[in-house]
This record gives sequence, C-alpha cells and structure tokens, in this order.
Amino acid sequence: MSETNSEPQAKKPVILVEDLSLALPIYGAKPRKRGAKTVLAVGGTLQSLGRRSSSVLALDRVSFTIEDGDAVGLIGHNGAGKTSLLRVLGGIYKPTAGRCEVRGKISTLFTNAIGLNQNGTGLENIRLTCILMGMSKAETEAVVPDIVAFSELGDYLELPLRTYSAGMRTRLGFALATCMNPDILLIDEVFTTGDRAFRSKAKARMTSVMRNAKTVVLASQSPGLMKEFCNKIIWLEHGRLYKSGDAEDILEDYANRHAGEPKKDTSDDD
Amino acid sequence: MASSTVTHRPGQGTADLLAGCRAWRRWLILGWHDFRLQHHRTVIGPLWQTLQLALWITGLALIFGTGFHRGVENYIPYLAIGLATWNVLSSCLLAGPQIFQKNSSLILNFNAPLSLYAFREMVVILGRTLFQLPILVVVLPLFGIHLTATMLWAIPGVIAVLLTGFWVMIVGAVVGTRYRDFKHAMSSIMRFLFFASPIVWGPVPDTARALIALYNPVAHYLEVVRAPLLGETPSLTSWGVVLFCTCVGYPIMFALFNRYRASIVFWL
Repeated sequence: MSETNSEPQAKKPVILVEDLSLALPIYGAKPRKRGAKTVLAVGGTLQSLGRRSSSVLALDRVSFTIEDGDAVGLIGHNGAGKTSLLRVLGGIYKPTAGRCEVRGKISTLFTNAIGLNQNGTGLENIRLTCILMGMSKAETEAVVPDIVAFSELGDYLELPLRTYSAGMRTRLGFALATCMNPDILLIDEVFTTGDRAFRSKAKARMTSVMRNAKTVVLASQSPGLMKEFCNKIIWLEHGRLYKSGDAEDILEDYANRHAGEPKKDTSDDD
Repeated sequence: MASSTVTHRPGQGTADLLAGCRAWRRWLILGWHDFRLQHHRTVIGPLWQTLQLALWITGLALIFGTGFHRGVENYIPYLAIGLATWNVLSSCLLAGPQIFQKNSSLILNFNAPLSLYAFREMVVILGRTLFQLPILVVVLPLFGIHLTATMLWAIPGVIAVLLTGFWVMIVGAVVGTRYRDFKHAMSSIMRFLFFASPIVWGPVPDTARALIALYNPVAHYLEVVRAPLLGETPSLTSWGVVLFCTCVGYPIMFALFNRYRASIVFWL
C-alpha cells in the first residue's frame, strides 16, 4: 500500500489513555483503623478506611498511548493496578475519571476459570464461550477445530469442565482468546499454570498473533516472559504510571530495583 | 473496526439494553443451554417442570379446594392458570436481585452487555413455562373449557406479564446487587404475596378478599391472563392497572439503569 503523504508510515494509536483514574469502592469491609491513608508495599492507595465506606484508588491519573502492532507488557508489584487497567481497557470497568479510548475488536484472557458451565463438556463450553464473545454459529463452527487442535486436550473435551486442572483450563482459555483474530488481545497473568510444552506453544501463537501486526497487552510478574514477547513496557506502582518505554530499558531498571531480592522460581528460561 | 470509548457518559443503560437486544442470538442460545443444564444428570429432565406443576395443582386443590372454591366457578382450571402465571411473575421477581451476582465471574472477565444476563434468565423462565403448558392443555378441556375466540385475549395479557417481568428483573438486579438485603426481602414478600393473590382463593364480592384482590396488582395480572382462558372478559380495571404498572416500570428501569450501569460492576 503506497502512502500518498510524504511522512514515513506512522503507527496508528489504538489505545489512548489520558489521566485515567479508577476508584474502587469497597462494601462490607469493617476495618479497625480509621481515617489515615496507609502506604504499603503492595496494593493500590487506600483512599479512605471509614466505617461506612472504603475505597481503593486502583489507578491514579495514568496516561499512555499504545500503537498498532505493539506488544506491551504491564509490570508492577501485586496490586499495582495491572488487572484493573486491563479491565478498563477491556471495557469491563468504566473509569471514574479521565479518558480511555480503544479502537478495534478486543479479546480478553483474564482468567483460567473460563467456563460457562462446570457441568458442560469442554466442547460445549468452547461453543458457548464463542457465542458469548459474540461469534455467530457459523463462525463458531469454523474455529472449533483450531481450538481443539491447539489446546491438545483430545478426548478430555468430552468430559465436564469441572474435571479439568487449572493448566488445562489455561490451554482452553488461551486457545479461545486467540481464535477470534482480535485486533487487540488483553492477557492477564495466566501463563504460570501452563506447563512448559504449552508455554512454548503459547509463545509460538503469540508470535504469530503479533506478526499480524495486532496489538497485545500482557500483564505478568515474569520479566523473562516480557523480554521474550514485548517491545514496550508499562510499569505501574500503587496505581500510578511509574515508567514506560522500550522493553529492554525498563526491564533493566526493574531488574536493578529488585536486585537484592531472592530469585523466584518462575521457570522463564524457555 | 468497531470503536469503544469507555468513559462516563449518560445513557449507558440504554446503550446496554440496545446492545442486549441486538445480541438476541447470544442469549437465546445461552439461555436455552442454561435451561437444559439445570436438569443435568436427571433422568426425566425438564419434565420435572411439568411434574412440579401437576403435583402442586393436585396438592393445593385437595387442601384448599373444598374451603376456597366460593367465588370460583371452575376451581381446577382457575388454579392451574393462576399458578402458571404466578410462576412467571415470581420467577422474575426472585431471579432479578441475584442475576449479576450469579454471573459475576463472566461479567468481570468478558465485555458483554449486562442486560444479556437478564434476557438469558427470561429465556430460562420461558423454557420452564413451556414445559408447564401441557398441563393447561390437558386440564382445561378436562373441566369443560374448550377453545374459543375469547381466549385470544390472553395473548396481550401474557405479553404484559412478560414485559413487566423484564423491567422488574432489571430493577431488581440493580437494587439487589447494591443492597444484598433485597433478595431476602423479595423472597419473604413473595411468600406472603402468594397467599395475598387470588390463586388458591377466589375474590368473593363484598368481602375482605375482594378488597385485597382489588388493591393487589398481581391479582390484576392474573386476571388479564386467566379470565380470557376461562371464557370471561377481564375487567377494564384490571387492564388499567396492568397497563399502568407495565408502563410506569420502563421509565423507572431506564432511569436506574442509566444512572448506575457503570457502578454495577464495582458492586459485585
């Protein structure tokens, strides 16, 4: 495709986030301390610990832009806001302040617990999840063989979903999330339960997804995984955007930050 | 490429409902599947719904029939139709407050209109009703009621019941997700409402019961469905009350849903 203007082909922004804030109200909590803002090692900022209502500022004025074809990694401590941000991008949470614009078809893989009905078989759940995601019956039938082949669950697909292990569900979930050929793929930390064989398959699939110049946003605790997949990193801390930029630079900073800590056994040396 | 701007905007409830309507293929399939799976691993499957209604009619007729048949011409058909209609209304009222909670893991992980879950529940309720209809088809002729043109008037009655059931479900869902007492309150009210509605008893004129039947909106819903099927014309009062309740519900539903749609996810 030839460009009519003289600029080099600029990448289109597909995710525009401006001053995004998300305050999560918490109901039914009865904290012992009252009033003070507590700053902890983990979690978002507790805005108020009242007797009546508490809230957590999960995201605090976050701004960034993601362009078409980027593979963005989200890193941060537990409770930094990664899942909350993914949910806002996925349209599940509406921001309490600021703007979030996502252009394109989104597919999400947020949980292993995919399954509309634990008593239904794997195949039934595949079909139902496809329908829930908005595919027509014809489209569903077209992708079922691909999902069956990719998940490698074989005859287990005839058994009820409740008999599956967490890793098996991850395989199914990942196959489902990537089958739709989305423009934007949002993935929360689900890779930890896949076995090594699956992870190399998942990497191959991810690479091909990314080669189609589609956008991926992946939240993970594993820097190794990020190094493998991502070209950009967004680093969140207590709901705020701490740093963002090229994957290599940020990951180096992240490694330096945590240099003194004992190495976690995340087996990311694939 | 579809664009989704995820910001605070008025009219999100209406947008959600429209998206829910457009997604009819989705909830039709999901709802039917849901209904089938409710009878998973049972031997007689959905026939349990038919059996339940049959047993209920028999039991109530035996116990209440002798004492309460005053004011009712044909007790068994009266009871049967009343029960079937009551089942639809009470299912909507009871299911409403729990819908979003029940589906919370789906809601938090998939971007789908919230109304889709309400529509899906309606399909399940209709599935149940479908299996209860054969009882009516058998019972009515058995007690001397045959097909007449007046019966067609029951159709608008049924439509009114379904429309009311829907708004009641959405309103119940919004309130019930925020205030968890609501579902318990609803179950207590329904128990009482069953006896306060002319299902097992008839509104004998000039008695307290007639007054209850007059002021209880459910009585009028029962009337607009039951009377035509029994060969009578429902009173204008009944139709007036039914139309009023159906119509007043929709603005309430839209107002609540628009205002709180964005917050519902946070209440789960």
